[in-house]
Amino acid sequence: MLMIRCPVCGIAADETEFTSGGLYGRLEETENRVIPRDVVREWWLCARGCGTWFGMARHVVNQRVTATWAAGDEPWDGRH
Amino acid sequence: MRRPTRRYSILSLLKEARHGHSGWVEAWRKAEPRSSYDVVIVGAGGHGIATAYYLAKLHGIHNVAVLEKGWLGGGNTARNTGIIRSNYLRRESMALYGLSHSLFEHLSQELDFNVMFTPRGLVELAHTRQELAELSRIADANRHFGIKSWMIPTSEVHSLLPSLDQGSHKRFPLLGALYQPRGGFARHDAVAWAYARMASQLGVDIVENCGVESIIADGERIVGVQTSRGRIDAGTIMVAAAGESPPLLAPLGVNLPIEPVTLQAFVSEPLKPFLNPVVMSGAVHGYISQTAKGELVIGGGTDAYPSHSRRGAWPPIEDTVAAMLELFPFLSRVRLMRHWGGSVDITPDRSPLIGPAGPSGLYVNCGWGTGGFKAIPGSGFVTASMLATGKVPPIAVPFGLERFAAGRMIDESAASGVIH
Ligand SMILES: Cc1cc2nc3c(=O)[nH]c(=O)nc-3n(C[C@H](O)[C@H](O)[C@H](O)COP(=O)(O)OP(=O)(O)OC[C@H]3O[C@@H](n4cnc5c(N)ncnc54)[C@H](O)[C@@H]3O)c2cc1C
Ligand SMILES: [Zn+2]
Repeated sequence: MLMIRCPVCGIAADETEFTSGGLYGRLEETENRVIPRDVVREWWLCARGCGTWFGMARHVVNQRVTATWAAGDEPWDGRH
Repeated sequence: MRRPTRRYSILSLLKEARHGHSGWVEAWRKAEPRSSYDVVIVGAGGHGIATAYYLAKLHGIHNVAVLEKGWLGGGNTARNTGIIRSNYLRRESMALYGLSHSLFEHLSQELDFNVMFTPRGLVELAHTRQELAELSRIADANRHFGIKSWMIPTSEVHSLLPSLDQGSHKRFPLLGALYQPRGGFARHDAVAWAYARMASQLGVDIVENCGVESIIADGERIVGVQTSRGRIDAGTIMVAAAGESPPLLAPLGVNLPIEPVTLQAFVSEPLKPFLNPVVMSGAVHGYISQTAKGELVIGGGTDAYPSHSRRGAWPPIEDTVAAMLELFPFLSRVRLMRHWGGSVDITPDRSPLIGPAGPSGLYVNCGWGTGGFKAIPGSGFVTASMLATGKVPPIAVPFGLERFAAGRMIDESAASGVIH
């Protein structure tokens, strides 16, 4: 079970409180991407909390959540 | 020297009983890869193996290898709940799944192997007005197309399923059901083994522990594959590697719209027979059948996000068990004996991808998602014809990759949420 912390309102809860929204980035960048057996950046919605979409890094095989961030506050340089 | 016994029958059993069962031969050869073949199929799941069988059986193409990264039928073919039905919504789907369903009727005889096809009927419950409308629409489509499947009233549901919980206390009262009398299930592993055994007897090489690392093209043509056991040449290659297909095709500039998602299933301890047909329910989100051994085979929805893992998430387990108890509360003390997951290859319209892809000589058969077991015989049949002739058979044409760009989706998403 994924344990997720919303970077906006700070709620920490399991995956049932959130909704997965696909790969992070602009549509044209994510459209034709193969989902690797690795960490992916995704959009997630704080569905039962503050209702904000935020960014999350998750490993697609071992399901570890390594980071969450508010949009505009990405933990890497440059845009997306 | 006695002749070895290959055929499975009551006579061969009697003959072998007299000789201490010393004359049976292995069901299929564990082949070593050769350096070239006429046709190479990537992935020994149901779809790959069935295609190889029909290539050898119907088209006289015996110089075929099926290359498998793991073991025969160890992917989703080993992990499904074996449900078979053909009451889909779109005519393209009804043609393909209907062909497959009719091949299942005689598959045990054709392959000389008991695949335990059990057409005890399949009941898809409607608990809401919207479900009633959706299932009625499917029933109408089925009637027009000639698929034997229709709506039945609650009284008939209860006579088919006397143990189904009913009454005004239910959160989801029953409103009716879609019924396919020849729906049912088969033994999933047996289907892979049966095709493998016959394909192998017809000369097909099934090579296990042989992962394909890349597909090699020379200009506009396909020439072979690079595998964990060396290079193998072939002028015709079909990728039937389920969720592993996209990374094999991406370097050739072919983007397969496939997302991997985990789907789980459960088996209970054996119980006295109480459940004849397969029961599915979209609103309570689960489905259940009882095997000849008495075990309940239970399934539900997928995990809520993409995953390459075969270990599923916890919430779908809880939801699926809750669904089963909503339908049959008296099962609350029954123990689940086994639980597992598979990573299924979901497409945007929940229909498979069948057809040529990229350089000439390359084909795909994947994207079967949560419901491709039932399609194995039909899909093998049509894709074998495609590989043998180079022409896409009419049944397969609508399932080509170009349908997404052309906006010709074969949308089965309404009916395939939990209804596999
Ligand atoms: C829990 C669960 C329940 C299901 N229930 C049903 C059901 O009731 N009814 C139904 O119709 N369907 C059901 N399905 C779906 C069904 O199992 C699949 O659609 C079907 O088995 C797909 O068959 P396949 O041959 O395409 O894929 P697979 O059986 O997954 O075969 C693909 C093979 O390719 C191999 N491979 C991958 N990469 C490589 C490589 N690089 N080189 C060589 N080999 C490779 C894999 O090891 C694998 O053996 C269910 C699935 C699951 C997980
Ligand atoms: Zn929040």
